[in-house]
Amino acid sequence: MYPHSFWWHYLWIAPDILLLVTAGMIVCRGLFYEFPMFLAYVMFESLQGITLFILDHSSAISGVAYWNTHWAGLLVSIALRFAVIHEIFSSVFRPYRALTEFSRLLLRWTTVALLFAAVILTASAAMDTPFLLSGVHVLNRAVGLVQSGLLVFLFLFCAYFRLSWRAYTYGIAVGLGIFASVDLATAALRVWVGTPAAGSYVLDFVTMATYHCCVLIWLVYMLVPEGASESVAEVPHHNLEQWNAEMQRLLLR
Amino acid sequence: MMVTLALVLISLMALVLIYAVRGKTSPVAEWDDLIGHTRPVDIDAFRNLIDPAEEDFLRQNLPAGEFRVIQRERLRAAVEYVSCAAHNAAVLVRLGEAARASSDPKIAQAGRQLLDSALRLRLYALLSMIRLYLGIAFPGAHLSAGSLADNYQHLSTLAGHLVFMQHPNRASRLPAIL
Repeated sequence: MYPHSFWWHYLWIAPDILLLVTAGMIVCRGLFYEFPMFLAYVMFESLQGITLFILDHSSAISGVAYWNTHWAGLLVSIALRFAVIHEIFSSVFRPYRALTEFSRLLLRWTTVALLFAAVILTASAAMDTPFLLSGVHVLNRAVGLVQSGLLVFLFLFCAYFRLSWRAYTYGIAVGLGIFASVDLATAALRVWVGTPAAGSYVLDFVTMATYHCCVLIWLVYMLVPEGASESVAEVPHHNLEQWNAEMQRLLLR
Repeated sequence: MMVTLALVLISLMALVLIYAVRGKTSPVAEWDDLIGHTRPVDIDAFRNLIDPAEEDFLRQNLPAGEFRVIQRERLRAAVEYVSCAAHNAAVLVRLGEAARASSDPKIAQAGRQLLDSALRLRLYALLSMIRLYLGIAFPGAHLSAGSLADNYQHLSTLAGHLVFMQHPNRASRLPAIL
């Protein structure tokens, strides 16, 4: 294992503690009925992080045992993240019955397209290091592509249809979207530079710092109470006459 | 190398997109907010632009080259109309959402209907835009976006019902701004 610095230790353990606080906030605010998968994800990530931290510092644990635990945790974590994304989609689209069918159809095809791209990407990856090490990054890269793609699709869809977000849902989606996107980039760079390269230590820092930021986003959104419905904005000067004139000019030319 | 570069770019684009589209909503929650946020759409003019009979008439009476030029112009104008209708629908989405939360069940019901219709119109507008741009690229092909016009008229009627329930004295002004 690396001789870790203070910041390494901080970035490893602080998000896990903050996630426990986030889980507490979810329970306190009674959001576990609405976001059960997010609560499960937050608790699992926290416990997994603390467990891996202990294993990393225990001399009785071999490297292989550590990576096996990491692998098992990663698979559960990936599955939970997909469940959280599904939960976000359900939360966003539930109030809009006119879009239910269309959003389902579009989501299905987007997922298929992203999975197809991820499979091609994974199949084309060269495995010149032991799979236990490089496989993690190849899998992370594929999953990052699918998850960030799904979240970008969600944001674009909502922006086009001007759907309103609940603050909690928005916070979860933003945090997850940022993490998935950065994870995709760092995993791609890791696959390219190879696992034992010196640059991978820097990439670890980038991933951990991003994760810390995302956890802070989740925590802040859970701490701040959700506002009431939007207030009425100031009414600006209208330009109906200009628009009519433009239309007439367009029709007459 | 190329794959890595592409993935890093994709992830950066994803981050930029998430930032760019955050909270993109129109600040409309009441009737008064509609003024200045909407763009008037002459539904009859739009219908005329996308009328297949009109298109056939032009096709039969104009040389092929001239017809293509004119048809492109007409379709570009139709794109503008669709764009305005889509914009108005986006504004009405917000109004519908605000009305849906009303404590008055009648207004809440009208808000739900308005919201559904506005979202449907946004969807149709998106599809119609694709069709219209295809028409601009291939002006010889037959096109119709008639269902959009019908949908827009339906949406205007629903908005009228909602406004009538909230402000009966102002309902007559609605057609002038939608």
